[in-house]
Amino acid sequence: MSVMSAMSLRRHAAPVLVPASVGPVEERVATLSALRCGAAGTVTGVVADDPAVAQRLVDLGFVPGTPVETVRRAPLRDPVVYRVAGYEIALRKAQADCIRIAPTA
Amino acid sequence: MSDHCGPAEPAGVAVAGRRRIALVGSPNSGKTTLFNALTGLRAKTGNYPGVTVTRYQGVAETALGPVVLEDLPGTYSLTAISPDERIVAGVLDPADDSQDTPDALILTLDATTLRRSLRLAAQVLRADLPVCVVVTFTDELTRRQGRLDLAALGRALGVPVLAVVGGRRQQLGELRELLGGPATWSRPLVPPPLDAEAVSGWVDSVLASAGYAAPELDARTRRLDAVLLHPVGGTVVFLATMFVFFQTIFTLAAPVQGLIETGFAALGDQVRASIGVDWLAGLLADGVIGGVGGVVVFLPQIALLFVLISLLEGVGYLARAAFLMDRVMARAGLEGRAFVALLSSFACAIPGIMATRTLPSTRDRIATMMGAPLMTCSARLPVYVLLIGLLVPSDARVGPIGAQGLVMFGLYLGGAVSAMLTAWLFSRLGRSAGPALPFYMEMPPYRLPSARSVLLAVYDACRGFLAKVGKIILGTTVVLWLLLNLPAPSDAELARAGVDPADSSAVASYTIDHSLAADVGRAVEPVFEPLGFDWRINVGVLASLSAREVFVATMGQVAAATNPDDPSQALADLRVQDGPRAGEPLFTAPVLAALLVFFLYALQCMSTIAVLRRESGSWRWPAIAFTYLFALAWTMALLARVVVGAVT
Amino acid sequence: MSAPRPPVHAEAVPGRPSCARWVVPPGSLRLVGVPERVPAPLARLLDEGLLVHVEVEPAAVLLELAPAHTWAASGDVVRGALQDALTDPEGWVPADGDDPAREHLAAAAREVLAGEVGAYARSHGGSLELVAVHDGVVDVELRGTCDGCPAAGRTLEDRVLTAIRSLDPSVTAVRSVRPDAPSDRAGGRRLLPLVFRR
Ligand SMILES: Nc1nc2c(ncn2[C@@H]2O[C@H](COP(=O)(O)OP(=O)(O)OP(=O)(O)O)[C@@H](O)[C@H]2O)c(=O)[nH]1
Ligand SMILES: [Mg+2]
Repeated sequence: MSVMSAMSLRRHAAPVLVPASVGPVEERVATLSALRCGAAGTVTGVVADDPAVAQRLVDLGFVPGTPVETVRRAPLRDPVVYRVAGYEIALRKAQADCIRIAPTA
Repeated sequence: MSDHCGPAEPAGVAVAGRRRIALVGSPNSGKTTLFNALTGLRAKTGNYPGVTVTRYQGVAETALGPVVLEDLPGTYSLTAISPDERIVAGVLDPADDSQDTPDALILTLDATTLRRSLRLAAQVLRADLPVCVVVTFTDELTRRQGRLDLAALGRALGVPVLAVVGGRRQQLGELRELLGGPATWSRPLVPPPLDAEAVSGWVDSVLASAGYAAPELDARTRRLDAVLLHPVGGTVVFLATMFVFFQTIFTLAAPVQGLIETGFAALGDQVRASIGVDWLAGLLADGVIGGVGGVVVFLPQIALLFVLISLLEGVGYLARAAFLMDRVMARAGLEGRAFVALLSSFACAIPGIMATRTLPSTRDRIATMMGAPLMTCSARLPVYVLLIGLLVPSDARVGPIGAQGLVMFGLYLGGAVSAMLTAWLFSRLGRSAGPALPFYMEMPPYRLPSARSVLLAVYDACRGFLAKVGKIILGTTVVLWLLLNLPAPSDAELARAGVDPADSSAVASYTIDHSLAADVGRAVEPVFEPLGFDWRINVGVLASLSAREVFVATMGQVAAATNPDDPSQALADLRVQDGPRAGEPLFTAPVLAALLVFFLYALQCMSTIAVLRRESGSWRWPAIAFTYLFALAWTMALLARVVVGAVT
Repeated sequence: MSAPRPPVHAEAVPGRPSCARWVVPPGSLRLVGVPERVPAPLARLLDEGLLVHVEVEPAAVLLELAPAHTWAASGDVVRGALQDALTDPEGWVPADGDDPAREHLAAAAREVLAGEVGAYARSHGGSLELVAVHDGVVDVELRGTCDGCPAAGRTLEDRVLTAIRSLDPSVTAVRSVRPDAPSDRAGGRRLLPLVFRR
């Protein structure tokens, strides 16, 4: 398990911001994976080492400005089902970590 | 097109000169359902994103004559990251010379996930091809209190838009009309934007224009998920379902099986009685009817298995299975979709291996392909049922549970665990092959599969099974019969051996003992001797390399030759002929256990090897798989024999 | 650019291939007709000769491309310019300074009555006529069977209101007036029936 997450969470490469829309709100960098079950937020950006991964997450509907909601965690806490763009999709933590959000109160 | 074994190649259709129209759309948006409705074919559908992984072609009648329709895998984006998506991107890319670009596209949009689906639509509408949009799932949209104005959507997209629910015939007329002349379809005046955020704006604007009200949450799905995805409850429900299923495989199927058995026995007697030529009667009664009948007997079990599989696929459980198993698969270095590929291998390893196309990572794909042949496919079912029948009396119980079902459950579980371990092993070995690619799994709402789709899946599976019996198994059986009955001993030879030429059953067993097959079986005896197999089992095992069910056919022939009146009893009564165990019963518990385990592991299926070659792109992987699995099978069988021998 | 770009999409205008009807968020512009002046991003395209005509409709902007250009090639540029221009509603200056907001609402009402809702009334043997627009209130005259049908009043008003609101959110009420009853036109003005082109 640790091997797996270490592999997908490589943080050394230059991040690719897709797209760079939000201003310098660096102090509030929350990611989707930090969202409690049942909590909601709004996507502010997608950051991934691999541009193809970022592009895919965007194509799946995780676009800045889109509301997201955490629906359900798998028995071993990963992956997690999210509700976005009107449908439900499960993401692993590694992918949810790529998605920055602004939590909604 | 069948679910059953056999490489699923794109259907061969005379394409030349005909207009080609391809179906594109998000996974699970109903492309194949529409394709089937338009062409009258029966490509596989299911409530799981990623059912179709290859191109299928069929001919659809339109107002202006036939066109070639092409079903494609679903994709979330034209920027492909997995092989199935690359097929779509390749087909749509005019610069890709390896594939002809179609003349027009049908784009399916799932009305319940329109906000996401329109993002793909934006990409597709930028392709320089006529596009016609078919909105699906409008029934579900209405049921869940959503709204959509199709005419306004058509104006906003700038292309023809119509709704077809689940490929209903009444709604196809207008579409057939349109498919006749893609050149007349309206094209979007201004292509949708490319940039991600601009696409969001475009989608918002189009949806607002089309008066779209997104469907409410599916209450049924929420309630079911609360149980099925519950950490404890979900597992219990799943195991209980499987358990009940393996019990029914024996109890429910038995009466029908009995009928088939009686039928074939009567047929055999009839043939023996009415054909005067001895050797021909033998070939037909023992070879063909004994062998083929022995396999056909398992048709009820195959049918039951496919009822279960098509229900699992139809209701939408597979996506949940991927979700539940992802963490476990992660330990094996794999992901949830790999589990679904393994699960598909319950039907047959071939669709399972093909399903690895949905996996973005090459390493995951190879690892899953290596594991897939270990899942208990439907071809093993007859072998297991036969051997378990010999091993465990049908009335044996462990508490309230039938012991036969329990053993079967254990074998399936053993196969699944071994498949995962193998996948884990190969995933470890292939560590360097590339980075981990993203895991995501859309969770479609639970849907009730139509009785028609379940029945068709079962029917196709049964037909596939019978076709296989009719071709491979019949062929192998006839060859085997010849090998088992040649050379025919002369009277002088019989006299020398002290066999009375008038005693036909003594002659038969003398002939078999001195046949070519016996020579072959004895030649490989050193290999299988430690497992307790005699030359007859060896012949069965060797013959089953063509298809596993042939083992059953071989045993059927041997039994029929020994005691035509009661083949099942004959099998149980077989004795070891030579060597230190001579005279003891052949099928003792340790030997049966060894055989079961051998069949659990060994890669005895030519079609699987061929598909491994095609999907992995070289002979290397099939060669590795064959060797690895044979070694594993032999070792584990030996282990089983020793362990069971020690226990009993 | 700080404000997010407003969502837009383009629709074809039957019979006018060089024209695109860009659907914009309702309420983003408060004028109709050919504006006197448009914000810089769009004005630039007019100056460069890419665009030849700009006309505002309720919740839409009609743009005409110069003959040498195609929407396929210029669409992305024009879209961006239009979206930027929409973030500056003050930059859109109406041609005559009468009461552009009221004109916009009137045009929206006319579009609705000419469209589906009007067609619905006609299919029931009646008709709807625009009488007056004042302070966000739209007066509509029910004729034919609609007149006197007690059920017609409220449901029709609601339908008309919803439809107008989707084009102009500034609408506050739709009132039905009887043809014979002397309508209360205080502050309002009888409108000449204008032909609405769509
Ligand atoms: N209620 C409803 N169900 C539909 C409709 N169209 C398809 N289905 C069901 O939805 C599921 C998915 O349909 P498929 O035709 O396999 O979808 P696909 O687009 O080919 O999916 P992939 O091959 O996985 O990309 C099946 O279970 C269909 O029976 C529809 O219009 N309404
Ligand atoms: Mg399909």
